[in-house]
Amino acid sequence: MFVFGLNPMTGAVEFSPFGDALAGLNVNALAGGRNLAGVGRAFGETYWYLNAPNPATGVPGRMVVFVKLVTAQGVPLLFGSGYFPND
Amino acid sequence: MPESSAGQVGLPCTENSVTARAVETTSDTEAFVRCAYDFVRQVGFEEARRAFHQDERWNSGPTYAFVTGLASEIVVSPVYPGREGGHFGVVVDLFNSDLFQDSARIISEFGQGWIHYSFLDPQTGLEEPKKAYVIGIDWEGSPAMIGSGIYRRDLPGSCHREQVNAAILNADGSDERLEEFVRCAALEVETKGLFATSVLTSDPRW
Repeated sequence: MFVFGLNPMTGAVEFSPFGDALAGLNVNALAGGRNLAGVGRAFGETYWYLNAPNPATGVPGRMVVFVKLVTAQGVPLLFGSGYFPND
Repeated sequence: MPESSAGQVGLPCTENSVTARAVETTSDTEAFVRCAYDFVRQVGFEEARRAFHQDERWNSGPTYAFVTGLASEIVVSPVYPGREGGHFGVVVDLFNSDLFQDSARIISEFGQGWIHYSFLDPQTGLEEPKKAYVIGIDWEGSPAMIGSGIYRRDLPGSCHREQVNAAILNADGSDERLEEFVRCAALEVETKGLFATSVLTSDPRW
């Protein structure tokens, strides 16, 4: 389990404990191009159901994510965490 | 697909504890859909279809149970009964993808979950955020999802001044209107910081 922050306008990863492993990853690309960052902005908090790489193993898998829109020192951020359900 | 959904969010599916009229929160919606799923398994497709249309337990005001095929077939739709048997087709919402394709992906890969989408409210002409809890179900041999939606007027993407304002709260002094009013005012503060205080104290909306 880990927490991460995304840019709510672009969906790009702003921070995570995995540093370069997730750098350049964009959440919108993990759901067939749906604007998931826009969903997060519109609803304030939301679930995402993704097929995402598990940064601990490098293996892609089903991932359930919950994110919440927060403002940190005036900067909006989608703050979230997720889990990989057992197949 | 769950064998039995009852009780997973702490509510038994009895006549008096889970009804459309009582649905207010996201937890209520999830319990309502789980009970609708179990109801289909208990009474069969024909009786469930009738009840979802006619019984107040399943259809009251803005809350109702629906069944949609994973290829966007309109299976049970209390709001569009005349369209049952047809298809919604491709519906690209504000979030840039086909709503039903994304829903089918979630059902196929995860079995159930929350679908967040936008829809055109014919009353306001505005594209509004809405979310629905859905569970995959085999409906008469075809893959489908059973679900129910919940609409909130106090989200960052809603909070329209013509829908949430002091005049409406004055006219309808309910807890629901009060909570909407405060949540939308709090969003003003979150987004504008202390600059919001001048707006909140001078704008007739507040």
